[in-house]
This record gives sequence, C-alpha cells and structure tokens, in this order.
Amino acid sequence: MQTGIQFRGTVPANQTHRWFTFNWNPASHIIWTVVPDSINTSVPEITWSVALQRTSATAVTYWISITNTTNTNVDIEARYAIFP
Amino acid sequence: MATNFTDHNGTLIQFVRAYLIFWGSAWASNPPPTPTTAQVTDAVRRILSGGYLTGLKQYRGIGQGYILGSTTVTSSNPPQGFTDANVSNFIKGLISAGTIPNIDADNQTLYIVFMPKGTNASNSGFIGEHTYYTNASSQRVHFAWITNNGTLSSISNITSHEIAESMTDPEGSAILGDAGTCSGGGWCEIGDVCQGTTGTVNGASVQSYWSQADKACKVFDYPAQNFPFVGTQFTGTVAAHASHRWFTFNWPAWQQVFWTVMPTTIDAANPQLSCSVAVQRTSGAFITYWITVTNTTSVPVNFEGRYEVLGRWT
Repeated sequence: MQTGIQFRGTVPANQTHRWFTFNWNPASHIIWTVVPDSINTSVPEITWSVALQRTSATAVTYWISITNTTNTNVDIEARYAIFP
Repeated sequence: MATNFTDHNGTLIQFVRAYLIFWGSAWASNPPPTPTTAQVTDAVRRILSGGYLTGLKQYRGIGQGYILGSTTVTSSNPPQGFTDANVSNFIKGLISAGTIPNIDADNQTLYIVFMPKGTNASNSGFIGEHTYYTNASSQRVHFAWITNNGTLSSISNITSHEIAESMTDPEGSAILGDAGTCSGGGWCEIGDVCQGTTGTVNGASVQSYWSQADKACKVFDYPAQNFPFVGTQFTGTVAAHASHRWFTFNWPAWQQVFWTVMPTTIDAANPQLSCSVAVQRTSGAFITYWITVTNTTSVPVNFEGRYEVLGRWT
C-alpha cells in the first residue's frame, strides 16, 4: 500500500475549507484521512468529508472539505492511502 | 556520576516546522558544491519523516515535524569565525525583508542555517548549535546553525543532533542533564551525551540521543509493522434514534488510521448505523480519535468500532 501526505494547510477557527487534488487514477482505491498539525489538549479539532468528480475516463478529482470545530486556527495535513 | 535527565517543564517544540537556510554564495556555485542543497534538504526530510524522532514521545509527547520551506542566500556570506549573534542577525534580516516567513502562530518554527564548506564558528570546538533570540514582539525565535565539512553524513548527523535537542530544550529550560552529567559548559542536552554514536534511519545518517526511559543512547526507528492491519478497538450500544460519541487516545500521529463501525445486532429491513470521525492532536506524537455513532432505527444497536491502520510516514 502506498501512503503519503498530499497537502498541508490552515483552516480558520470555526470554518470549513475545501481543497481539491486532481488527475488521480480512477482504477485506484484511495482513502483520504486528515489530522491536525496544531496541538489541542482539550477538544477535538477537525472533521472532514470527501467528494469525487470524474473529470474524464482516466482521471478523478477529489474535493476534501475540512471543518475546524475549534475557536482557533488549525493547521492540517491531508493523507492518502492507495490500495494495491 | 550516572547520566540522568530531568524535565524542568520549560518550553518544548512539540511538532517542528523546519525552515532551511543555506547561507553563502558557495551553495549556488557552478559546479554545485558537495553536498548540494537538494541533498541536504532530502536528508532533513528523511530525519523528520522517518522514525528517528519517535523516541522523543517519552518527553511530554514530543512528535516529529516537516520542512516548512527553504531558501538559499547568496547575497552575503557568513564570516569566518561567526557567532550566534551573526546568525541571529542574519535571520532577523531575512524575516524583516520578507525573504523567509516569521515564526508560526504556535511557535513551532525552527530556522536551520547551513554554512558553506569550511566556514567555522568563533569557538572552533563547536560544529553545530541551537539557541534562540527574542524578537521585537517578545517572542523567542528558535534557530540552529550547522557547519559543513563537505560530507553529507556529517551535516546530516549534526542536523539530527540539533533538531532533537531543539525540540526537547529550545530555550535551556526543559529536558536537561542533571549536574555532573555533561563535562562541558552550556545546556547539557540529550544529544551532548551521545556524540560519536551514529546510525542510519530512513536513509539518513543520524546521531543517537539520550533515552531516559532506556537509560541509554539510542537510535530510534519505527517499529517493524506490516501494513495494513486491522482490529476492533471497542464495542458499544447506541440507543434507538440516538447518537453517542466514543474517544480513543494515544494513537501514534505517524500512523494513518481509518475508522469504521459494524453492527452486530441483526436487522433485515433497514440501515442501522452511520458514523463520523473527529480528530485531535493532543501532543506532537499522539492523536485522539472521536467517533460519533448514530442509530437510525427504533431499537438499540450493538456494534464494533473497527480500525484500519493503512500505513505510516516515510
């Protein structure tokens, strides 16, 4: 299985931001996860959801919406795992 | 006297954002120097993303980090016999000019200045150092400098030493050796007592550092694991038409974990459960997952909370 970090960013307090990443192989089975890079010792910080767009027969775009559930900015990293 | 380290509860860098600065025209020479800026950058990336720093979790949960960016400055050269003040003034100037970013909001930034080959510090006994200065906003700016003998392994070893020490003791107030642990002056830190013991982690040369948990100098790496692997973390019951949230903590931040729920109560007619996941980084090294399970039926539903560990940083 191939894993990696596709992007890093910052989600402002109590907001949702959406990123997209394109030209992924539609034949691949991919799982997206997101973790905060900012530390918070008291409450959960982020949730995320994934939308998909088949832009051609050979390409998929993933749209990853990340919600910051805290009242401070949170740095995040979006990770992918490609099943063989 | 036996080596012993104590946590003095001062500032740490929990999850480092390393900004690499290559100082001097020699870094952009033609032909390029040995090693090149690209080779040094790759070594630092391997240090940060490999398992080398995972041993720091014993020190208040310190984690790893990443390269925030890099720049090569050819408009000036470090003076032969440079001092900490020369380096801090250099960094101040770059931040002021907007050449490099200011420290991040959480002050996890570590500026690492790489010297051209043959440029040494005023104290020739030092081949690398980390310290800080206080900026105009009364924030402490953490930085390190690394000398260059023309070999990648030396630069990589020194850099690993300075990163580990910067994270555990960026201001001389946190993880420090007890009196008598170090023979030299200055801050007695976890790399200082382990010089001369090196290894290779994730393809990068590294120096060992002191593990208080093991009472020894160690070169840490990721545990041997085959990915993916799966399991059931917890079981529970959600009442009819209700949601309930569970949390599970101290998951290594370098593991990539996916969560699912599986009903164990049979229902032949309707969908029963949905779930959502929230994530919290409680320290540099550890993640807490919050899993909310919703029962969409009119009867209680038992379920398993299952994890799939997909992989790790490399």
